[in-house]
Formats: sequence, structure tokens, C-alpha cells
Amino acid sequence: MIKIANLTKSYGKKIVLENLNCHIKTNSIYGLIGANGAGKSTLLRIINDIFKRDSGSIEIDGKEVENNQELKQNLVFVPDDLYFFPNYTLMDMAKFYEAMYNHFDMAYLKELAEILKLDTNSKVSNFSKGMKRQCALICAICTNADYMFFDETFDGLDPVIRNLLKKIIAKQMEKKNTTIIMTSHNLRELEDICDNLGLLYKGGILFESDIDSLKTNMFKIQISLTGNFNKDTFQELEILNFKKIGSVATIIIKGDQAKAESILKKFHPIILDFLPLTLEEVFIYEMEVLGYAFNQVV
Amino acid sequence: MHLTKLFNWHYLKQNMKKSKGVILLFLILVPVFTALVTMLSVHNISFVKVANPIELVWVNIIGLYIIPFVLSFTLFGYVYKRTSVDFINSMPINRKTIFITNTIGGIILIAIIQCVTALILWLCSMMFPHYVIFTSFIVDILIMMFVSYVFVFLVANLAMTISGTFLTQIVLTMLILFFIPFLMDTYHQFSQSETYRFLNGNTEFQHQVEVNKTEYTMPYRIFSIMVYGNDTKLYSNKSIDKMLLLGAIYFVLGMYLFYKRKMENTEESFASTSIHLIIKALTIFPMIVILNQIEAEMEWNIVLIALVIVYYFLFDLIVKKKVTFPVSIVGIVATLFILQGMYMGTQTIKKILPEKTLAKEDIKAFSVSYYPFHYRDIQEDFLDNIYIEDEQMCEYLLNAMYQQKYNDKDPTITSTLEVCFKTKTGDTLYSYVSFSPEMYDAILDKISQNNDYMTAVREALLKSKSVLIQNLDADDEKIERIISEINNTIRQMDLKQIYELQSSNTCDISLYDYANHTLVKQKFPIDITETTLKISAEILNQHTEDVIKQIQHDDTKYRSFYLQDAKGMMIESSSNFTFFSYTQEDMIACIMDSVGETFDPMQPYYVIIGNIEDYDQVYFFTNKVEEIHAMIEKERQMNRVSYDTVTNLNQ
Repeated sequence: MIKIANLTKSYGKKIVLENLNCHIKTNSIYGLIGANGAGKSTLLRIINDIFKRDSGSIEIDGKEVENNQELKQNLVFVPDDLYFFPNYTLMDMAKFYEAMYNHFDMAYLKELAEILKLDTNSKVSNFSKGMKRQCALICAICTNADYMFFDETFDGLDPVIRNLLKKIIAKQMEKKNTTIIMTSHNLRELEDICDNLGLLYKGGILFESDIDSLKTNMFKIQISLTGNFNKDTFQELEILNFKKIGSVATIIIKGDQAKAESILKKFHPIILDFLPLTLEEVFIYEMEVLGYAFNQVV
Repeated sequence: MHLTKLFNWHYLKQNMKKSKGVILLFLILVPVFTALVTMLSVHNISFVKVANPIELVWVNIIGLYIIPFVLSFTLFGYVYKRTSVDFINSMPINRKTIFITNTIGGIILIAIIQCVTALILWLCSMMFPHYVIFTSFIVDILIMMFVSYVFVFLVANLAMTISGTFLTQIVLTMLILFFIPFLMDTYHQFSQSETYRFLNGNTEFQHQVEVNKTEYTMPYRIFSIMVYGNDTKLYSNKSIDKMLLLGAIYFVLGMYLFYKRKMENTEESFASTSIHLIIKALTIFPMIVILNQIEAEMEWNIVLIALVIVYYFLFDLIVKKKVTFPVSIVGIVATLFILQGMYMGTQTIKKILPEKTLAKEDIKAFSVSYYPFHYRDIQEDFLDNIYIEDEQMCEYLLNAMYQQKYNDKDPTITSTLEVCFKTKTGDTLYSYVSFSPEMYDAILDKISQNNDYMTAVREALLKSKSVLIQNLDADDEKIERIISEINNTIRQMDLKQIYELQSSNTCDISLYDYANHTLVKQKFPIDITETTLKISAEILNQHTEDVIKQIQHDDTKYRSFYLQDAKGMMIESSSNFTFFSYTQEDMIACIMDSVGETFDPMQPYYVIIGNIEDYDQVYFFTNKVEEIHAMIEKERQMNRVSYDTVTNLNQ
């Protein structure tokens, strides 16, 4: 478990993270979203002891991260801008990881490289951007670290490779109880892979929840009634958003779907459709509830 | 924390592997070039040569200002790139471990460079016996250069901890290495309060003495030796001690700052603008000092100030990759005013401070040496070690100096002594002082009574291992006999005889040794004793015979011959000429006829001196006085005939 308490970090006079608190469960995939410059990468760098924090504490499995060499054996970080030593092949890079990580699995790396069709003896500098990301990812996975931090790592990968990597990560999580923390400024990238999501805004975690409850707790309906109706007609429901165009209204409701359906059926609607919400929509409406205009956030 | 946690071999191996090409190149650069320089020095020398320390180590010296920087950048360069910072610092290795591991790695590489260089020098000394490289000198170089390289490496690492780019690291390293010694040197140079003066009321003579300078760390010291040439002794114990102490401090400080380093500070000069401005101002200060020292025309001063301004912008452009003109213009004006003000302020303070006048109460001890020693290549280390604490003598010498007449035209001044005082405040003062014969004799008489001093002077002349006779080597038995002869003679000489021991008009015996970290060279006339003359003549004659055999039938080699008598006087071949042109063949025949003959220094003799193309000057000692007289007569006759012929033709 990762426990972050009152974390503050500033670059000169600019405060990037301010009294940030966050709990990340073990064996989950935690997605951290936020606008560009929200501090996602900074947070990951501080957790990985790359940057020094100004104040606050970070504990992983009850141990302080800072200057903890043993603990860092269980952490691996793949940054947004990748780095490979000049003229190194994938095998050379793997050997570097092997030298640094006690539980690095070289055989598994070769296996993954074969699956992803990556030549281990070709220079990484000759690879495409996507292939470089794959190299970094498989090196990180083969460290067998308990906590893996991916900073916008999946952004820009083609769907086939994304799916393949998701399967590899899922297998790894199953095998080692791994916890994955990944960031993106694109919700769609995280939607189908994360268990939990946290929104970083103005230096703090503004909102965090597990995806299942987010999606099941909120739904969109399209409804049309015979007579005239407005938002006040449905006072029994927790309405997050109400839009009416002509005789058809689109309503975002928070709460239990079955209960809402029974209430709405009492009005004998001409049309009553329950539509799924995208994660992006869920976040927009949750933010509105919290009093933030979405366009200011993401 | 376990020591094993402070050093990570796997990380070091991988860190070096990624830059193996650069490391290998710099690993072999100094040894290979040192080998080449040594071989070039040996190449084409037909006589024995004693290696000059600076001649052998200049590649190593140049490397001192390059290799530690390269090593520091190779091992720590990742801190200047955001992507590599993310990569390396995310690895399971602590910052302290990274710093210690890389530092130890760098020191190991430096040790390899210096050991291989020393090994190459030693192999050269074995391969080329006529190029004398003392083993103690090789050991000195090994220690001195190793400590110096490590010191620069540690300073570069310290600079890295607060620099955002490699260029700022270089600037900061240079400042740490050179700024304080430069300031101190400048202060010593211009500080009137540090100068003692001997005031002679009668002649208005002010005699300024040199105050012994602080011994700086090697990078500045070597730079000072190379640029100003004010010290010929390369090795300095004080410098090495200072580097070891400062190196340890810089290492600990560097480790702390690296631990605290803000890794986000990459690709920017420094974390804060104020540090950037301070560093920039410090780099300008030496320019202000130099500008003030140059007594140039106004136009030149304007050009120089313009250069400083250009530098100010260039500095920003290079280390920050951007220039903010309004801020920079205000900055440069303020910096120039502040620095110039500071400089003028210190100058004013210096003028206000009273001059010191040396009084007998200030002096703790003294030492003297004979001025012409310097011209005979004798190193006077004993002056640094032997001081006589004799209050009466100190007063006597001080009075002698106050009363001295400083007039080059004064015929009563005959001898100059270098007088050296140790003051009670720890200063060492050197001064060359001329004395009248009576005063000179009296001083030597007094000093001769001090046994410690006499022993030190004799020891300075007696410690020698290698002997060369006019650059020719001798076998061990002959070397031993010559050293023994010279030592016995020196022991019997009084101080005045030692001081006034003159070089020979013919040729000298050179005694060499590398002692007390200095190449000691001493020259004595070959006829200091009959035995030395006999041995030397044997060696010189043998060499001359060998050379003559080689060129005897080769008319393409230019040769000219001269004659010298036993007193070292050149024999005139004709009026005002010493060149023997008509008897060249006679002289060659005389030399070849004398093969196997023994030279007797007790009998009258002459010396045939030959200048032969491609060879050093050759000497042949012969007792065939009659034959030589005949040659002299023949030469003079031929010259007369020639002169008469030319005169008649002209008429």
C-alpha cells in the first residue's frame, strides 16, 4: 500500500503539489489523471525518490521511501520521456536492469521480446517511438517489482500492442500481486485498464474512486413524457445534470439504477432509455458536483 | 550503514560500460603520449641526457586540466539531462551510493592512468640507459599527479552537485581551483603592507625583498610555474598535504550536496538566479584586476571593457542558452561598478597601511648562500632547511645590509650573497646583497664557525648518484672514484673555497641526483683533482677516438679543430684566430696514433677540441706536446703565407 500524507513540492516559487494526501491499494491499477502541468509526473518522481519533496511523507508497505535502497528494489518507474544509453541494444539495457534489480527475470524478457517481435540485439536508438516504449515496459515488468509506475507510458501505443501489454501486465499482477500506478491526461487511455482513478488538480488529489463504483453509481437516461415536465418533476432523484431539447430530456442521475427506473416508470414515459456513461462523462459530472467546471480541469 | 551499501560494483561496471570508448581513450591518452614524448626526447641523442622533469610530465600536466573533467562528466553527466536523471535515480541505488561509487571509480581510473604512465617511464628508463630517468622521480610523479588528478576530480564533482549544465560545472571548478589563489597572488603582488623594505638613509636606497609565497594546490601551482616560471620545483609536500585535506573536505561536502541536490535543476545553469549572478561576477573579477594592471591607452581600455561586456552576455548565452538584455545591461553595469569599487577600495586600504621595516627584533634565524651558485645549476635546498639562530649574526647581517652600497660602478663591491631571514612571524625573506671584500670575508668567517651550516652546504654538494662528463656516461667504478674524489676535496675546502669553486674553461663533470623531490645538478671542473682529470680524460679520449673513426673517411661531415693548453687557454692559430684549418689532418692523425696510450695529468698536456657535424663537441687530452707545438707552428706559418698572398694580391 502506498500512503502519501501532506506532500508538498515546489519549483522555486511555483507550488506544484500542496498537502497532497493519497492512498493506493495493493494489487490494483491506479490511474492518475490531470491536466498538463498538474504535477502527475512530479508526484511519480517524488514517490520514486528522484526528486526531493519539500515536506510530507510517503510510505510504501509502511516504509519511508526516501533514501531506501531496499525498498526501491520493489519500485520501477517508466518515465514519459524515455532514456536509453547511447548505442545500447535491448539486451544491453536488460543487462543494466539485471545488474540493478535483484529479481530481474532475463528469460522472461527474452520471451516478451519475442512476443512483441523486438530484436534484443538491435540498437534501441533504431527503434520506433512505440517500440522504445515497449522496450522500457518489458524491462520494467521483468524487474518483478511490486510497484510499477508508468508515466503516460501507454499514450500513443497502437491498440493491438496496448491490448497485448495489458494482458502482460494483468498476468504480472496475478503472478506477483503487483500494484500499477499510471498517469495520463487522457481518460480514455486509462478507462479500460485502471481499477482506481485519482484526479490531480491544483496540487492535490481532488477526487478518487474505484472505476466500478463510479460507473455503476451514475447513469444517463433519455426520457420523454406526455405532458410538460422539467427538472423539478423528478425531485425524488439525485440529478447531476438536466438538459431538455424539445420533448426529450437527457438526465444524469446518481444512485441506484433499479430504484431510479421504478420512480421514472411511475410517470409513464413515452421514451425511457438507460445509456452507459463514459469515464470522461462520469468525471465531468462528478467535478460539477464538487463545484469545478470540467473545462477548467481536464 | 554497511560499507557494502555505500559502494555498488554492479552500478559502477554498468556506468563505465556505457562510456567505455571515452574511458578507454582517456585511459591510454596520457601513457601513450608520455611514451611518445619520451621516445622523441631519446631519439637522435648521441650523448647521455638526464631527463628534465617538466619535459617528461607536460602531457600529464595538460591531462590534469582535461581528464578529471571528462571522468567527472562520464560518471556524473547524467545529472544534466532530465531523461537520464529519471532513469538513473529511479534505480534501486541511493544518491550517497551513486556519489561514493562514482568517486571511487574515478579514483581507480586515475590510479590506472598514473600507474601505467609510471610503468611506461620506468620501462623507458630501462630501454634507454643513455636517457637517465631517476626511479625516485617516477615515484614522485606518480604520487604528485595521482593526488592532483584526484583533487581536480573531487573539485569537479563538487561543482557538479550545484551545476545544471556541464559548462557551469567547468566554470565553477575553475573558480574553486583558481579564484582564491589568484586573489591571494594578486594581493601579495600589490600589497605594500606585505613588503619589507631596507631603508638606507644615506643613499635613499630601498631594497625590496621577496616574501615567501603561500604554496597553493597543484593545479594553480603548475599553472603558475608554466605561466610565470617563478618556481622550478614541481613537487611540493605542502601542496600535496593541502590537496589531500581539501580533497577530503570537498568529498564530504560534495556527497552532502549531491544528496540534497535538486535533480529537477537540469539544463539550467544553477538552481537560483542569484547563484548564477554571483558566479558570473566572480569570473569577471580576474578581468577587472587584469584591466587595472594593464597600463594601456584609453582606446585599448575601452576595447577591453567592451570585451568584458561581450563576455558577460556570452556567459549567459553559453551557460543559460538565453540572454535577457535589460536585466543583463543593469547587471553588467552594477557588477563592473561594484567590482571596480572593491578593487579600488582594497588599493586605497593597502596604501594607508604602514610599511614594515625589518628590525633585528623581527628576525629569528638566517641563512646565506653564494649568489653565483645559481649560475652553476646548484639547487640550494639546504637554504630552506638550515637556518642559524644566532642573534649576534642576524644583527651583523642586518647591519651589513643597511650599510651596503648599492652602486654597480663601485669597484669595492665584489661579492653577492643571497641572505635569507626567517622572521618571528613566520615570513621568509630573500634578498641578494652585495658586500665589500672585507665584509664578505667577515661574514663567511662567521658562518664557517657554524657546524650545522657547513655540514648542510657540504651535503648539498655531495649527494649525487649519476655522473656525466661533458654528457658522456661512465662505468660504475669510474663514477664511484669521481664522486669519492670530489667528496674528499669538498670536505677539505673552506666555505669561501666552496663558494668560489669555478667552472672549468674546458669541460665539466656534472653530478646529478633526484633528491628531495628535485633534480639536483652540480658542475665541477674536470681538473678539480688529478684523478678526476685522468678518469675524465680517458672517457673523453675514448669517445673522441670513436667519433673520429666514424668520420675519418667521410668528407661530407663538417669539422673544425681548436687547441687549448693545460690552463684552459685557447691557442691562437694566427693573430686573434683560434680555428686550426691547415692542420686538421695532423690532428686527426695525432688522435688515431694515440689509441691505447695513457694520458698522464702530471705531465704537460694540450686539449684538442673538435666540433664535428652531428656530434657534440669532442675533447682529446694528449701529452704529445712536441707534436702539438709542431702543429701550432705549421698552422701559424700557413696562415702567414696565406695572409701575405692575400695582401700581395690586394696590392
